[in-house]
Amino acid sequence: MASEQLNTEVGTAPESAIAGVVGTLGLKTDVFIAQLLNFLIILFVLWRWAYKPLLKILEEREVRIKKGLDDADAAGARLADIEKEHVAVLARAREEGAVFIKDAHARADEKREELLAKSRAEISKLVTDARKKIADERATAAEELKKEIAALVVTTAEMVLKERIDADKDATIMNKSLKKIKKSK
Amino acid sequence: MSIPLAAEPIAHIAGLTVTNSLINAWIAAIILIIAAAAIRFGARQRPGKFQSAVEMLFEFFLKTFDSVTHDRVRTRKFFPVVTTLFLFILISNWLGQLPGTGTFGIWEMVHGELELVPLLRPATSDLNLTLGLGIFAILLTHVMGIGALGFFRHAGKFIQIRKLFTSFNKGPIAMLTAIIDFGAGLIEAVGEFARAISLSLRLFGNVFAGEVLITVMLGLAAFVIPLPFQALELLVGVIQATVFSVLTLVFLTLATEPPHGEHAEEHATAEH
Repeated sequence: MASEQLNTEVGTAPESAIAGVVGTLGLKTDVFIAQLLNFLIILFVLWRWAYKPLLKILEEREVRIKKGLDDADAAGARLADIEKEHVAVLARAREEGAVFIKDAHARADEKREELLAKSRAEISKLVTDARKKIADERATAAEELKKEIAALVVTTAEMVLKERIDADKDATIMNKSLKKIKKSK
Repeated sequence: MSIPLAAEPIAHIAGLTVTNSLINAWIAAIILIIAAAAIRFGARQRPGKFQSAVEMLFEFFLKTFDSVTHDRVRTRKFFPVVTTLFLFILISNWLGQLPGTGTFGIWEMVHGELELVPLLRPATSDLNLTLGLGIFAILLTHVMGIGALGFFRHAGKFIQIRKLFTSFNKGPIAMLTAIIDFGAGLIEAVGEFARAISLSLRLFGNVFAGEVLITVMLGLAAFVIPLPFQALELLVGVIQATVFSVLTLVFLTLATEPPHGEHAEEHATAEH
């Protein structure tokens, strides 16, 4: 048993006690160095092959993720800006359109009024012209009629005078006719 | 059935005693080197399953180390050594749970008795390895300490002679504290050796005890009974790997921090 071995070794002498303990625990220079070297090799290989590349990748990824997030934030902000602008442009366009339409309506109304007034004036002018013409024609017709009547009266009187020449009669007829003419004039 | 404290030699190659624990250490090395090669030749910006798993592990380590160092730069500096310590110790511990470890071997004449010399023995149950790791870790803390603070400031933590001189014109009480600090510094210097030995003996003791426990349980009953103890050993494997590497990390952090009192002294001179 190991413990027995330890006891016997420790029991011998003080100067060999340390050596005994060391021997019992199996401390051997070559094995010690071999174990240490083994560990150092592992340390070196892991350092060069595992830690260095992987930690580098981790750091690079961290940077990239940060940049990506920043970019996403910036893109989001820009999108919001563009949307706001879009809405503003639409609103302005609608306003302008409304103004245009109102303008067009107003102009159309104006034009219509103008046209209406013009036609009304023309019509009234035509009507007054027609009236004037009618009045003129009536006047000329009346004149002609008067002339004809006078002529007719003269001929009638001549005819009457030819048939019954009488001084009295002639005088009364003359007076009557003159009175009639005076009356009609 | 007995398990000697010392790892037993299996063969001698070119003057090197190849012990069964050394074989296990080589197996652990091969596993880790294959994993490293897989990363070296397969690492992509868009990771596969294996790379993702390793990345998650590394990120977890970085975060955990940050909570000790409070400094990403130092974390990056200590990361390779501490991670390698953890991975190597963990794999060595777990390799001890493989079937055949401690039971598969050659019958040999040892000390006049016919004994089964197992071909495999957990690498961490050999004091050669754990002491090697412990001494390496503590030496590294001093190398890092000198690198971070300079030789004299680092050495000044252990040989506090500067304070001894500056205290002469500050009165007897200052001289007394300076002498006490000087003694404390020397004790701390001894403590550095104690650290190396405690690191290595803790790991060795735990893994060795586990191996003995499993062997005893296997001797009692070959089936089912050892299973809970093996599960426990898997846990112990993680815990001991964590303890060793985190303690190393703490020692590294402490070594690279400016010595105590230095700040207080600076403040005092600034105020006056």
